[in-house]
Amino acid sequence: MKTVLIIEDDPILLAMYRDKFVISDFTVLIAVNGEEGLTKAFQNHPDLILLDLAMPKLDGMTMLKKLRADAWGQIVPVIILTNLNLDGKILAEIITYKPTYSLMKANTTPEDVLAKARDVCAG
Amino acid sequence: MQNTYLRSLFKAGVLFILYFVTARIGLSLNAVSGFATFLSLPTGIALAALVLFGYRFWPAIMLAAFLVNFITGVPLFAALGIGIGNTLEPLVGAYLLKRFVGFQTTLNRLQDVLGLALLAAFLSTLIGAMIGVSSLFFSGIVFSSSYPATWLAWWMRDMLGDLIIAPFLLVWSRRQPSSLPTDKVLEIGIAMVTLILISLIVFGNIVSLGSPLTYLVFPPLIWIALRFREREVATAILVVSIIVVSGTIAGLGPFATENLRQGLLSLQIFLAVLAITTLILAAIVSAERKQIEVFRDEMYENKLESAKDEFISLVSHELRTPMTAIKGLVSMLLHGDYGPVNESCKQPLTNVYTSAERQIHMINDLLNISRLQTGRIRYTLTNFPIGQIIDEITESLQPLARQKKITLTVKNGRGMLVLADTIWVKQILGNLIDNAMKFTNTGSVAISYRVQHDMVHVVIADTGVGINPMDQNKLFGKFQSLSLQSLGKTGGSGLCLYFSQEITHKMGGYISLLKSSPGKGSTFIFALPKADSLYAEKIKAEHEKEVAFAFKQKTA
Repeated sequence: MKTVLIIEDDPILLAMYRDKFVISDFTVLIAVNGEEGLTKAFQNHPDLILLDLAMPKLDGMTMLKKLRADAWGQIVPVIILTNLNLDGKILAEIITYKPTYSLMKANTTPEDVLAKARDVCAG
Repeated sequence: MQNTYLRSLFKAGVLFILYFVTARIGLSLNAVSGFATFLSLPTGIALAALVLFGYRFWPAIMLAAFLVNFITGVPLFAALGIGIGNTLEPLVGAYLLKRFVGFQTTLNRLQDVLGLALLAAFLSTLIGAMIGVSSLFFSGIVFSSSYPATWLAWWMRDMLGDLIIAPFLLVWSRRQPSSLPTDKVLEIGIAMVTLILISLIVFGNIVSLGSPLTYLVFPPLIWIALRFREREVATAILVVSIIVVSGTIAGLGPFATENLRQGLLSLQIFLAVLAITTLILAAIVSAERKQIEVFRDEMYENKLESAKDEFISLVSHELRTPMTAIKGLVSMLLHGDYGPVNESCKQPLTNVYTSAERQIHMINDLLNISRLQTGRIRYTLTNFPIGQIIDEITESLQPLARQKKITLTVKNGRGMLVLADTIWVKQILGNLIDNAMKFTNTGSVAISYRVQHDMVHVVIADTGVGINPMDQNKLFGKFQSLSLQSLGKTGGSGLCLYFSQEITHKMGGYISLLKSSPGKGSTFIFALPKADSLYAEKIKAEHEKEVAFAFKQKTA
């Protein structure tokens, strides 16, 4: 059973993605900001991280930067799930931290996210 | 036509009168050899007139210069000579300024002031002095012994006319973009009063301490040059000059010496130095001020644009988040993730899902339009096989086609290379094919390719509901899908096709409706430049220029 860490500050969206992954036989860890996400990532070494960008305490971009500075963090697959427009500066910065996928939450369904997650875990 | 002619005639008349009257006043001062005065008003008037109105007004100058001398008693030949010299002088001055400096009458660039000082005041005035004094010499009015002094005084007074009178007329002839604020009006008032008082003290002998005091006029002049615009500066120079000249004529001030010629020359040199220094200083300050203003404007504009962008981005994020939850949760319900769904609930849930999708599309479209309007849509042009993108899109839409029981076919287009932005093309084509699927309930959606000249056409033909002829020409306008709803189908925000067309135009392509009839379907063409074609090279070069310009603006 694969472990996914979902880092999302919106409680409704967090519950939605958690439900989808629990139903689909994933072990789900959750965090509501980048700081908590980073701690849980280093403690549990999940197989995949779903990461929101706009979050309190520690935003997704900074969290990803810190994650990528770690030896294990460098290789863990990360799917960015955001409703921000990824263009210009944000996009350029994101690319430096090599996320596996970057998805616009509003343009996808939990089913689409699950499909990508399965792809990543299988690959 | 008649009006223009009359206006020109009126201008020529005014120029003639002004030149004649000021020259007559000058001649009456009778300082050296009866013809040279301290400062030539008509020289400045003539130069300003030809610079402002054009060379064609020279006859007014020539006639006035000839008549004023002839009436004063100058023989016909000499008066003619002076007339020719005094006309050639501003003509050459105006030509040199236009030809070598690209002269601007605002005088707020260093090159304009230097041009005025060197080409007009210093150089062109040699002509007037040479022809004028020589004409008098050959007529026996000026003798060889007084020739050099007369020549020098003539040259200097014309030079001062160009340095003091011409700038004043030039800067005041232009409409000022904005009036001075109240505190500045007060400040210029104080500065001018100070300047006048100092000038009166120094050149009106109110306090007689000798020549070193002449330089007391510089601090208020520098104050005006540093703090005000060319109008105030030119006026200040003129005011000082009037006081200096009036004082000297009245036998007052440091220049009213027993040796009249020596005093006159010193006065003229002093005024020339004063005018050039102040004008140069004002031009340098003005250029600096302009640069700071441009920089400040750019900073403000950039800040405003960034704030606007940030606001739109934030609002879009906040609007998208609840829509994501609605769309996601309903999709999970429909998928049975929360248990079986009552059959009667499926359609209403599907409607909720579709509405959420529409709302998200609208938010995305509005954001794109806003970015398009602020010029913040970025795109990168590369060569890529268009067929690959279409294959990806159609592959993802096959389940929907099967569900709707329509066929979705693609003619093999591998190897068909276009020049465009892959991300935008994917989005635009995705929308076009998605629309075709949405409006087609029976039959097919077929995608094919063709090459026409330098363009690759992607042809999207469907057998759907078609578009009403009345709606067809409004198709690419903003908010047009409302009328398309008359077809009984769900429209988008009405911005999608508008935006797609705009961004396609930016990439050198276009979207057009080839044919459509209600009940029979529609055929759209999505055209993009063919990779490596001449047209594609042109589009690429234009885009590179735009990007370089944007970069330059950003980094300037």
